Order: sequence, then structure tokens, then C-alpha cells
Amino acid sequence: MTTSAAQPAGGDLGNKFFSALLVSFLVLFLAASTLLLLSNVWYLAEAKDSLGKSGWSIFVESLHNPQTHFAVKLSVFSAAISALVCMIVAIPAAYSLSRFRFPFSGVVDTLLDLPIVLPPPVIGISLLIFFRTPAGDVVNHLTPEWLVSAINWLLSLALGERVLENGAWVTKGEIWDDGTTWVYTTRGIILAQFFAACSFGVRAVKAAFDTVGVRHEQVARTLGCTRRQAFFKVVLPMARNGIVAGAVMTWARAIAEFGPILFFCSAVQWKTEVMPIRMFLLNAASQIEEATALVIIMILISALTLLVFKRLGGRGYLW
Amino acid sequence: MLSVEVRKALTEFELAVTFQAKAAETVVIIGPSGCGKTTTLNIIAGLVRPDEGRVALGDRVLVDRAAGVELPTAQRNVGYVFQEFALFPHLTVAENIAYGLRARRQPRELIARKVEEAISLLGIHALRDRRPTALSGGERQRVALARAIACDAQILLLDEPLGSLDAQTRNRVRGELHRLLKTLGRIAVMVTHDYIDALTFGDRICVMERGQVLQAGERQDLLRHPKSRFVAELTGVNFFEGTVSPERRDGLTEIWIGDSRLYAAANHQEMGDTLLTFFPSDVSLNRQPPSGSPRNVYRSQVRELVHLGDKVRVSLNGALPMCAEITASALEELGIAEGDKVYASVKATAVKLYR
Repeated sequence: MTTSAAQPAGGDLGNKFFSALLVSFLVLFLAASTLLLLSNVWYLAEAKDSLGKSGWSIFVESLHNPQTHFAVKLSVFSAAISALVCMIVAIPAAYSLSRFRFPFSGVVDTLLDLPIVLPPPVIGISLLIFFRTPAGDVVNHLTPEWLVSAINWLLSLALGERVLENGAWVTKGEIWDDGTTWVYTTRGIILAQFFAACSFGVRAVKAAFDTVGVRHEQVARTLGCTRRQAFFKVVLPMARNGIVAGAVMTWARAIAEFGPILFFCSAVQWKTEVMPIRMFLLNAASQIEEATALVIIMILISALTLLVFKRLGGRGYLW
Repeated sequence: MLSVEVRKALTEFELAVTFQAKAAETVVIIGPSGCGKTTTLNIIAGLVRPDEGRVALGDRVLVDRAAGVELPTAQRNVGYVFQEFALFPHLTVAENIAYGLRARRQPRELIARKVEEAISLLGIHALRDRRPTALSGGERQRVALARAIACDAQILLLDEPLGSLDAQTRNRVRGELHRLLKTLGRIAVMVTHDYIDALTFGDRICVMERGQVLQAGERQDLLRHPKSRFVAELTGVNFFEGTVSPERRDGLTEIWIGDSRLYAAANHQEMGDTLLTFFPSDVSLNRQPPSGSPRNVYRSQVRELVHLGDKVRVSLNGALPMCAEITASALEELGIAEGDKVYASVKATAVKLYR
């Protein structure tokens, strides 16, 4: 062959070796992270507690544990509400970012991305501190009763578990926080998740709007649409998949939040006990097998959302 | 009648465009990319606001900054065909065409009738229920046109309508589009960087560079009297700057272009600098030095062959770099290829002098 003649002797082998070297890093990392996740299953299979119960039976028991049910439902539900609120903010915000030019766009960008790089406790502590300032008092006082009732009602749709306690059935985990404060409450979870996840939502939705060319909107306007009509009839339908993908990712982000919730809502059983908080509490109480059960549930949820996200063709800054 | 007279400061230069079009005329704005052509269309459509100036269509003022009038895009009734066509991917062809009528809340029967008219005018019956992603470039262009004309746009704006088509499709679509624009009989403003488009479509041609109109006028005028090499190159005419010498031979004017001599039959007595042009079709090519009348014979080398339907444009290197246009059969007879040596001759009667 004429091409190989031009290459230095042994070049082909050298290239192959170099490619193999590059790929080996990928393979090693994939193997390591898969092993890491599978170790949960492995551990359960081997484990025995002091009473001689096997890991698997603890796992199965904890799947039937009403407190686990409560944690899963609170997580899924609060994250869904947070993701919804995030989208209400993110869709107009992302559209503005995608279409309009701002002065100090560097500052805007940095502020927007800041929650993504901030250590999670910073958001939690900042929220906590905020509600100790006069501005926080104002927010507490201005929070309308109906909003509190609405959130309570929404949560009550999912929460509440019948539990046998001392021989009597009682309902646990019904959230009816009185007053209009946010700190150390169940509804505070939504606030914490919102501030931690919204930046991701804006980034993902902006990526969706970026893929919809401005041309389509302009065509719609020459065809007699106002800006508003063009937005609702052309931009939103065309960006639909990307927006849904962004919402799914924002939801996944919210459900994974731990730090902000721990600091802002604290870790209270049957109250602010979302899945990560329950894992934390179980781990602190050395109930590692029960925590592992939640770990496996969370891995499944995360894998599923990622799959849905990729299926919808999602893209953008997410990590 | 369309009249445009606008200014707008762009990042690198100022856009200052003035031109008019009479009823049913097509104006072609030609210039290199980034010269402000598309911005001009956007100003007419109301997608970009001019810093000052006025755009009027008949007795309707679309924008007049001095008078504080600015019609929103939706009310201007312009049909805009973008370079990439920008069809709505979530709608079928028929829905795309109906879009403007629906946005204007026309009655259902009217929408159906107008869509049908546009579909038959462009001959796209077979495509009506397809999605834009399932169409070829030429088909997309027709759908985009149908969408633009379905709601009786008073004026058509076409941004490089042939630019995203492959070379073969382009030649076919160019002819179709030309007939369509003639049939429609509406004012059209087309933007292109291709002189063939300009010569095919332009009743009037407006040559732009860096935001400025270098020359604007009727096609014939631009072809005969390009005011600069830039304009001549865009319109595809052979253009030279020369000096009329005091010598006259057999009643012909002698002109020096650098070290080359050229005779023109034009009765041009004034000595000094002159501009001269001749059409590529007035250049003939031979393998051997031609015998007989033509005086203006130049040894040249074929630089490039460009096929334009049944014509071929031959770019030549040599003392006078020029363009010849010959028929495809003539090319075959000559049997020349790029890099070959030929003799190019220009009839003295074909050379036009002006300043």
C-alpha cells in the first residue's frame, strides 16, 4: 500500500498501542464505578446482623417499611413540585438568555452557574441565614396562607402512612405545619431543592431553545404572529422535547439534594425525611443494610431518569 | 411600488441602502457575504429596526423613523423565504402553508382554498401530508415559497433562495422560480452573491459592499456600464480600465490596458483614461491563431470551466484575464480543458467604452 510506505516503521503498531492506552482509562473507570455501585448488592448478599438475619431479608423488610415508603414518596413528590416551579422560572429565563443580549452577560452567566459549583451546604446555610434577616421576616409574613395550604394539600395527597405502634394503628407523616414559616418545615424542602436545582433547569432549557433557530420565530412573525404567538405556537412546540428532558433532569437533581435540606430543614424523621436524609439517619444509627436498600432505589431512579433524558435528546450543562 | 431608504449602524460599518422597485419588479441585491444584504431584508420585514430612514410599500408606510411610524412585522404582509427555509418541523407541509392564514384567523374555507391554490401553483400535491424533514432541498424551497405566498403577501423577500441547494438542483429550481415570480407579478427583493441569479432574476440590480450601495439600476444599465471592477465581477462582465491612445488605425480606437493593446470600434475620440467592457459571449476561443478580421487576439490559458445549463463560462488567464461564454457543443468541438492554451479574440465592435 502506498499510504503505509509514507509512515515511519512500526507506526501502525504505535498508533494501535496509543489508542488502546486511551481506551484502557475509560474501561478502568467504567469498571471501577460499576463495581462501586454493585458493591451495594454484594454487601447485602453477604451481610448478617447481630440477630443473624440475612442482608437480603433486611432489604426486603425495609422495602415494606412505612418509613421508607414515606421517604420515597416525599422525595418523589417534593422533587416533582420543585421541578415544576423550576420550569415555571426556567422557561422564560432560559428564553431570555437564549434570545436577548444582556449588558454584563459575563456576570449574568456567572451568577446563574454559581449554584452549580457552590458546595451544597452553602445554599442550605444561606437560606437559613436569610430567614434570620429582616428580609426573611418579610418573606415569612408575606407568604400567603393559601400557598401554605396548597402545598400542604399537595403533599398530603401522597404522604401519610398507617403504622402499627404499641398495638394501635396511627397515621404518621401527615404534614400539616401551621404558620407561614419556611425554616425547618417540610415545605422548606421545596425551597432548598428549588435553589439547588433551578440553575440546571435554566441551562438545560436554554440548550433546548438554542437549538430552535431564531429563523423559525421570524418566519412566524412575518406570517402574522405576534412575539407571544410565535413563542407559544412555534418555539415551545419545537423545544418541547428539550424542555421535558430539562424538567426530568431538574427533577433528578432535586431528588438527589441532601446538603441544603439537611441545613435548612434539618433531619427530622417522618417530617423532612427525604431519601438522602433517611440514608443519612440510618447510617448514623448504624442501620447500614436499610440504608443500602434506599441506595439501590436511588440508583434505579437515577438510571431511569438519565435514560429518559437521553431518549428525549437532552443536552446542555448538567454536571 | 417599494421604496427603501434606510441607515443602520452595524458593528463594523454603517449600512446605508436606497433603492426602489416598481410593481411586479424583482430587485436583486448582490454582494459578498456580510455586506448587509440580509439585514436590509430584515429591515423591510421589520425584524430589524433602522436607525433612520423610511420603507414604504405603495401608500403604506412600513417604517418611518422620522415620523415615528413602525408597523410590527406581523402587520407588514411580507412573505419571507429564508436561506435555510425555516419550515416548521412539527407541522406537515399543508399545515406549514396554512400557518400564516391560521395566525391571521381566516375562515376555514378560505384557508383550505388558499392552501390548495398555493399547492397547485407550486405543483407540490404529492408532498402535502409529509413533514419537512422528509423533503429534499428543492421540495423544501417550494414549500417555503408556498407558505410565503399563501397569505397574499404584497412583497416577497428571498434570502439566497438557491443558496442551500446543490448545483444540479439549483439550475432547475432557478428556472422554476423565475417563472413563478413572473406568474405572481409581485414585487420581490432577492438577496444573492451569485451573479447568475442576479442576471436571471434582477429587473433591477443593487450591488452592495460593506453596507454601501456601489451601484443600483436596471439590469441592462449595470451590465453595460459597471462603475467598478467589483460591480463588473459580480455581474460577470469583462471589465478593464485603460487609456485611449492618440493612435487610430482603420477608424478604430486604440486602448492600452497595461502592456496589452485593444481596439474598439466605438467612436471615442477623447484621449485619456477610460472604462471598457465586453460581454463574455462576445469572446470567441480558438485552438489556432485565428485568421481574418479580429485584431484583438490574446494568447490565454484556461483557468476554469463553469457549466451554466447549455452554456459554459470559461475563465482565462493571460495578459488580459477575461471570461468567455460559449455553448456546450462549441466546448466539445474545441475539446479544451482546464490548463489548456487557447486564443481568445474579441470583436472590436463588441467593446464598449465609457467613463
